Amino acid sequence: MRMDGNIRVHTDAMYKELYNNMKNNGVIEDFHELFFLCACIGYRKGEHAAIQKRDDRFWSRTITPKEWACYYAMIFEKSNFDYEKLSEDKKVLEIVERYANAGVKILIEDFLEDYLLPNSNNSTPQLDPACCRGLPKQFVHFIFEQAEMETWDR
Amino acid sequence: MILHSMTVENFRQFRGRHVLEFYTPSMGQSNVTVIFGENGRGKTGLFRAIIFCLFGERRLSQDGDVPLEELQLVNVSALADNPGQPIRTVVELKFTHREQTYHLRRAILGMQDGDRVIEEEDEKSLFLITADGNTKPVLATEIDAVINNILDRRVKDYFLLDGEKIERLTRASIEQRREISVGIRNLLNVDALEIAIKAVGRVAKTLDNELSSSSHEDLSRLLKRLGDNEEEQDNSKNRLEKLADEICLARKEIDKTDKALDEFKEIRHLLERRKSLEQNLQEMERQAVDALSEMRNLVCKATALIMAPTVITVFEHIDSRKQKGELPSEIRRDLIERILMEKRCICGNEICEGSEAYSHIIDWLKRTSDVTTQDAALNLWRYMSEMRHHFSDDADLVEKRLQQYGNINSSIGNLNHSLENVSNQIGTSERQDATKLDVHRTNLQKGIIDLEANAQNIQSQLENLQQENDRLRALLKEEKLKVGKNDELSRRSILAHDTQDALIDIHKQFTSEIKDLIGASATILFRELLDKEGRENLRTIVVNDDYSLQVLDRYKKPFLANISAGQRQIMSISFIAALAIIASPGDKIEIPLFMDTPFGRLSYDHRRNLINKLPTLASQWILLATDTEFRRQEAQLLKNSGRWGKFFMLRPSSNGNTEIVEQDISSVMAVLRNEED
Amino acid sequence: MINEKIVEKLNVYSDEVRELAMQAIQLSESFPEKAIADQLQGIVRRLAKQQDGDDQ
Repeated sequence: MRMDGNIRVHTDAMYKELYNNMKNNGVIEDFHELFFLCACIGYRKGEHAAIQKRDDRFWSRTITPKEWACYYAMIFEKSNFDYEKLSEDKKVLEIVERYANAGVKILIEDFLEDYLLPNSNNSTPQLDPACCRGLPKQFVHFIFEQAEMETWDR
Repeated sequence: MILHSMTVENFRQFRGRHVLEFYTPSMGQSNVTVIFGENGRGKTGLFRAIIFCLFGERRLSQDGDVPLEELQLVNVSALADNPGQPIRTVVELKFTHREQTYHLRRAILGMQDGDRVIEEEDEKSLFLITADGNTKPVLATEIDAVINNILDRRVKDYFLLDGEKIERLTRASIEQRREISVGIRNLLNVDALEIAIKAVGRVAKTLDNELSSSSHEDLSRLLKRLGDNEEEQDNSKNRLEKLADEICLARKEIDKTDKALDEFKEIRHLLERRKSLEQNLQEMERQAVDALSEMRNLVCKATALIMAPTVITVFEHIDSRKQKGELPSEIRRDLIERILMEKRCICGNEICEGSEAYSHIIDWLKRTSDVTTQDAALNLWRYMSEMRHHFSDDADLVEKRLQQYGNINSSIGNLNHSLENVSNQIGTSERQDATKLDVHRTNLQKGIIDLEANAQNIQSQLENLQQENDRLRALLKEEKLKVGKNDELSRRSILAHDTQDALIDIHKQFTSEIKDLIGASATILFRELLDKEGRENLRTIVVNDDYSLQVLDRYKKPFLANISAGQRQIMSISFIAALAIIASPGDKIEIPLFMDTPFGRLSYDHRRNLINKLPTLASQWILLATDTEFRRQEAQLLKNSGRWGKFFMLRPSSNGNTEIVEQDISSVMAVLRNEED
Repeated sequence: MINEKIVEKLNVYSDEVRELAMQAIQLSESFPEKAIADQLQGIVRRLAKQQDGDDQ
C-alpha cells in the first residue's frame, strides 16, 4: 500500500480515442479521473472484464490518495479482507483495471452513447464533436446522480 | 352628388362581388356612413374605387411617386387562383347629382404575365336614369366630359380628407406650403393664364437676346446683368426645390420612424419585460456556469461517494478488529511465535502442544498480523476513516449542488419559456431597436433643421436677387425707353415685358382672391368646429403669401405657435373642407366627403362638433375609421346627431382579402370598444 | 373664351398690353407654349409699330 507512482495503468486499446476525446473536450481534466469513475461504476455494479488489448493510458503518479484509498478498499473488500492482496500496488491496479474495463462499457451504455459518433460504439467509441457542447455539464450531473443512488447510513 | 350604391368586383382586396348601399331616398337626412375596419382592410380602397370609376384614374395624391405599376387594382388572389385567365375588375356607381340619377360602370381586365400584372381598360358605360325608370346611354366619347362637369378631376383629392394630409397641414413646413399652393392652383383653374405667362416670357427673352447683341452697350450690359441675375435666381429656385424635396423625404422618413416607434409604444412594456428576462437569463446562465464549475470541483468527491458503501464496510471491518484489540495486536506476533516455539509462556510455565493453553495461543497467533500487515491495515483504517468522516458532508454538498444546479436550470427553462412567449407577443416583425429608431429620428430632425436653415438662406438670397432683378429691370426699362424712341426692337421688348408683368400680376390677384376666399370659408368652419375655449380666442384662418397657414387671435395677432394639437387638427380639417367647398359649385360640398380617421387628437367637444357639423356641410359624409378611432362614444354622438345612416365592417377573409358586412346601426355598440379599452 | 374676370382686370393696362395678353391667353387654350410664342412675335411687332405710330 505504497501508492506507487511508477506503475503504468492500462485500458483496452479501443478506448484510447474515447479517453482522448473526453480530455480534449474538457469533460475531464485528466485520464485518472475517468479511470477512477469507470472503476467505481464497474465495482459497484459487481462487474469486471479482462482487457482484450492492453494499452498504456497513464502513470499511477497521477492517481490521488483518495483514489488509491478507494482502490485498496475495493480489493480488500472483494478479497474478503485479505491484507495480502494489498501488498503489491501493481497487482491492485491490475484488478482495478478490470473493474474499469467493465465500468467504461456501463458508462457508455448508460450515458455516453448519445454523445458518440454513430456506428463507433462497437468498434472504437469516439465522441461526436457536434454533441459535445453540453457534455461536460451532463457528465458531472451523471456522476452526481450515480453518487446519490448509493445509500448508506449517513 | 349623393352616392346611392357602389359595387366592387375583384377590386383590390375585395374578392368577388360586394355591394355597398349608402343611401336610399327613404333615409331622408341620414347621410352619414361609417366604414369600419383595421388599417389595411381597404377603407381608402373604397375611395380609390370611386375615383377609378369616375375618372379611370388609379392614383391618389397620397400615392406620391409610387410607380403606376404598383397601384394594382385587380384582386391578387383571383389572379393566383386562375392562372393564365384574365380577371375582370369592375366598379359600378349609382349616384344622383342635381336630380339626375346616373349609373356608371368601369372595368379593367387584369392578367398575370410572369412577375408583373398587366391591366387594360375593358369597358366603361354611363347611363342616365330618367324619372320614369328608363335608362339612356351616354356615348362613350362623352362620358368623361359629363363626369368632369359633375366633378372636376383636378380637385378629386379634396373629397378625401385623409389622416396624413390633415397631419401635414398642421405643421408649419415646406410640405404644408406645397400642399396649399398645389391645392390653390388646382382650384384656380388658370392653366391657360399660366401658359400665356410663359409664352409671353419666352417672347420677351428672345427679344432681350436680340437686344443684347445689338450695338447699344449700356443696354447690352444691363441685359447681361439681368440675364445673369435670372440665371442665378433659377439656380436658387432649383436648389430650393431640391431642398424642399429632401425635407419632404426626411419628414416621410420621420413619419415612418414614428409609426415604428408607435408600434414600439404598444409593445414597449413587452420589450422592457423581454429585456429584463434576457438580463435575468444572462445572470442565471452565469450562475449555471459558476455552479457547474463548483460541481466540477466536486467530481472527485462525488465519484468517491459511489464507493461510500465499500469504504464504510472496510472501515467497519478494520475498526472492529481494532476494538477487539487485534489491531494493533496486544501482543506482538513474533513474541507469540517465540512462545510457541519454546513452548514456554513469558511467565515461565511450560505450554504443551495440544493443551488448552496451546490452543488459545494458536488462536492469538491467527488473529495477529505481522507488522507490515498491521501497518497496512492501520493505514487503510486511517484512509477509510478520513474518507468516511467527510462522506456525510460531501454527500450533503453534492446534494446541495445538484439541487442548486437543478433550480438554476429550472429557472433558465422558465425564463426561456417566458422569453418565447414575450417574443411571440412582440411578433416576428423586423427587430429594430427602439433606441436606434430614436437616434435615427433625432438625426433626421437635425438634418431637417439644417436643410430648413439652408432653405432660409437661399430664400433670403432669392429675395435679394429679386430686389436686384427689379432694380435692373427698372434700369433696363429706362434704358430701353431712351433707346426705344428710335429703336423698334426695344419697344417690342418693353411691350413683351409689360404684358408678362400684367399677366403675372393678374395671376397674383386671382391667387390672392382665392386665398382670401379659402381663408374666409375655412374660418367659418373653424369657428363652428372649435370648442368654447377655442372660439373665445381664435378668430381667423389666413393663408399667407408664402402659402403657409396662420391663425389670428382676437387681437388679430398670429397665434398659430400657441394652439394645441387638437386645435391644429381642427384647423387643417377646416382648411381642407374649405377647399372642398370652394371646389364645389354651390356653398355646400356637393360631392361625398370621405374622411379618414379624423378623431386622433381631438377632445370630446371637438369630436362632437365635427360629428354634428360635417353631415350638414356635405351632401354625404363617409367616415373611414379604425376601432381605436370609432368607439362607443363616437357612435353615441353620431346616433344623437340623427344623421347616421349606414355601418359597414371590413373584415378579413381568406388570402388577405376583405369582406364587407353591413351591420344594423342598432346593434353596432356591441362590436365597438369603450373609451377605457 | 377668356375668363371674364381676366378681361376685367386687363382694363387697367394699355391697349397694346391688353391685346397682347388676350391673344396670348386665347392661343394658350389651344396651342403649346412654343407655338404660342412664335405666333406672338408677329403680334408684338405689329403692336410695337402701332405704338410708334400713335406716339408719332
